[in-house]
Amino acid sequence: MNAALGVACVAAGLAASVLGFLTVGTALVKRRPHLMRLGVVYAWIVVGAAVLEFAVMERALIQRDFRLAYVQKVGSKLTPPLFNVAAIWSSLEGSILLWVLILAGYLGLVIWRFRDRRDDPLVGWAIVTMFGICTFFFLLLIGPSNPFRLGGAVPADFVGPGPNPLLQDHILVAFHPPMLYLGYVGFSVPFAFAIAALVTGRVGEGWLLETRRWTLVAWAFLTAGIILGAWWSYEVIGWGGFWAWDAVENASFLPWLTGTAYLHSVLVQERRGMLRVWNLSLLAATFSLTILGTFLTRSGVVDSVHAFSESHIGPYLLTFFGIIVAVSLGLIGWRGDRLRSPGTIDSPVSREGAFLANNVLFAAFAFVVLLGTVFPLIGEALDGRKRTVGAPFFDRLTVPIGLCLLTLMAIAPVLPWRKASGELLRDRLFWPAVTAVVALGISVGFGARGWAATIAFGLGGFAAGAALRQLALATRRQGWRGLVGRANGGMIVHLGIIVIAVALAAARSNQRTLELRLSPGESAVAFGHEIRYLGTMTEDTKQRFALIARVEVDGQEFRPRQSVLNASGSPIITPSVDTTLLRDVYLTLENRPADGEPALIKVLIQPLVAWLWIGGGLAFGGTFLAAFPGQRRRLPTAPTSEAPPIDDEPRPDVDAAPVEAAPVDAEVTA
Amino acid sequence: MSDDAIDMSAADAPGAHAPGAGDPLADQPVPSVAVRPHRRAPYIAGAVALVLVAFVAVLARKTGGGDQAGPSPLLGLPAPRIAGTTAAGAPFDLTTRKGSWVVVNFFQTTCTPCKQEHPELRAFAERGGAAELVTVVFSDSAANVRAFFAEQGGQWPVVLDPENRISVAYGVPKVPETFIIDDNGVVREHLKGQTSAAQLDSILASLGATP
Repeated sequence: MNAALGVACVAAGLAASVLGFLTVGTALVKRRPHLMRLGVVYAWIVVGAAVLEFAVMERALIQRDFRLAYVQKVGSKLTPPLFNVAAIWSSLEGSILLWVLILAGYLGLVIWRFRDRRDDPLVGWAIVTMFGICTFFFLLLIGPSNPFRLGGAVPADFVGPGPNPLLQDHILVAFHPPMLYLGYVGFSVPFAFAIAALVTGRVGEGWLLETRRWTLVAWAFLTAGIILGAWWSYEVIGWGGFWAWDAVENASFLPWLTGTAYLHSVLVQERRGMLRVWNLSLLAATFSLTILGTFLTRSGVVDSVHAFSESHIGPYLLTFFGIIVAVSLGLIGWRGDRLRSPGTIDSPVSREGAFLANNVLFAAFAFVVLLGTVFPLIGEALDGRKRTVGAPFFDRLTVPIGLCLLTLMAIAPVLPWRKASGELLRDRLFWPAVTAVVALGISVGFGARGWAATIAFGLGGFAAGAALRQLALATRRQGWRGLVGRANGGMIVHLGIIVIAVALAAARSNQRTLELRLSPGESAVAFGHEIRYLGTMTEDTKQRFALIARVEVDGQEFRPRQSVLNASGSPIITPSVDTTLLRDVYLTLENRPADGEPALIKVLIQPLVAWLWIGGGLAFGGTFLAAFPGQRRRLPTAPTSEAPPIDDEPRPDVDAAPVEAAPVDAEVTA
Repeated sequence: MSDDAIDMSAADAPGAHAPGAGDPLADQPVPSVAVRPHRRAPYIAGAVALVLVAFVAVLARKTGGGDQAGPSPLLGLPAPRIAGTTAAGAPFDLTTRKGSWVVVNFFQTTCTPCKQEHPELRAFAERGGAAELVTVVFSDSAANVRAFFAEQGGQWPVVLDPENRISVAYGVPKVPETFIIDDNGVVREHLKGQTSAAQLDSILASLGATP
């Protein structure tokens, strides 16, 4: 029943995607606008099919319908409800279901948002592109990654293995994958509009304005997804880290890097009409990288802790990647010369010069990460030798790039468009420089170690000073509106990223670890904290058997544990963390002590870890503030040459202020 | 300075997109200098495409089809020698097992799929299936291996391969991988990635292995 219904939904979704692609395509090529209405119907069928197939799989999981091979793989009678519902995305086939659900959701939103403009070829071609992407993912679901395949017969008392034990341990598994996919898949929308702009030849700034908020929302979710993933691994895996340059982490980080580059360079195009080809290329790269990342992690070509070893979808994803790249490059090659604008950058010391530097740095960053991720493959292809690229490679190359980006974050927000004078820079950078010195002083006072970390603290203060200065000026001028709009919201995002950078530098440079062997009742002092082992207790539930150590940190009790899941028999080590704003004490139980025997407890102390998550929250929230329309003064594409009031002290930042009048909203509110 | 401003006029603003609105290039700025006649974009795009074709080729070469039963050149040939010391300290030599079917599993304690696979291997070994089980460990410390087996159970021989001789002879780059060797010492099956007791049983049955 579930299987039949699921397959029927997938088939309906595939048929509707193909028909939608062909119908809307025909409507555009042969100029038959009435066909467009039919295309809209197909889009809603796609949405319905995606929602239904997802619901069917959830139902099968809740019913423990072990006739389905997928439920046999990830379902278990012993999994608690929350993790059972989240089990849908714990393995390959189900994660593609989630992908399709979100993709169809975005398609529905595009159809709804542009309901009055469906006859516009730009919107039409964007919808065609999205139908094309939907077709590919429905193909995956019907063929190589069919989640509704029937499994072999199972005995009546079959319990089921349940999802990977690590995916049954923390509430974040319910949030991290959907957030990440909302980001990943969200980039389909600006990509679709970029393709549409190239096809129609309407390569001006129109499509940019249409997709500005879509891009921001996708970026916000991708950021949140990455941070939640780091948080999850910190709270669950038990090694005390949050980022390991694992292939799957890199796969999520690569589109983030190119997406971030795009968010900045797009401003240059809006204001100065430059960098058009580059922006289109960045969007195409961002979307291709989401597919490439999925390929790398789902096909087993690179080693990763997250890789699904048994997948068959590699060749399909690689083919799709090839098609996307070919289409994008073909269109850019065809239209590229018409895109080029005559504008040039007047002075490197200007806002657009800073954005250009930003893009060079982000492109270099993305290149380094991509190179490190695929180098084992390339090396093997060249000389047949196996290699691994580890964290030292990434750290050595990305830390300097990160420091340069922090510097840029400090200087760029105070630069005016076109040209800046030395005097102006001196003026505007005075307070940021003060905060930099203060931050440096505080960090040295707290015992900062390592040159990179110390520089990061100083630059973090510098950049935070620049962001706060902008926010202070904006709120003084506009009240609460000084916190919304792209430039101001963007500064809040900057603050979030700076907080993350500083927290990363602090946690990685000042971590201290100690293994303690303590008998019950015994205590030891670890880096100024009194650690007392009280004894063990056990917890025996339907789902798991856990051996819990009761450990006091400065008098407060924490419970690191080792547990074995009944369904799979696999052991997992779950840390317990004493979190404060200044430092985390991270405890793991490293052995399974019998009653009265000494326990082996690992203590890991890292400063400022909590600020990683706080910074992530700031960046996420700030992006939505940035998407919120700010001051409505002039069109975003209005020329910027109207005499920047450089020496007008009371309004020193007018030229750097947000120019937010989003025409779409202006139209709605007018 | 202001005269060379690129006027992005609002022609491309949403309201301007009336259905069928005239020239699709209406929103192109009127260039203030003549557009250079030579075409660069196709060449740049072509160059990027070439690099990416090579890149995709490298990836495709590695992808293979993603089939779990990867074709090993060893299939049908006599199994390379597996000899050394077990984690328990006893000498081991596969040649002494001639006459019975052997499942050889390559393992590391640092590998998550291997750990997930372990209960399956235990189930297979404890049921006393059609073949004996031997684990080979390389690039790992003997202490880790002993601790893992002490904790997780498993009574079959675990052969240490500190110099990677066995793993190289069998061509195993990453674990887990499993080989099935018949009673004449010939490699009959090669499995990449996690396996299960049920899969081993069914393969052994299809190859006609008897205890």
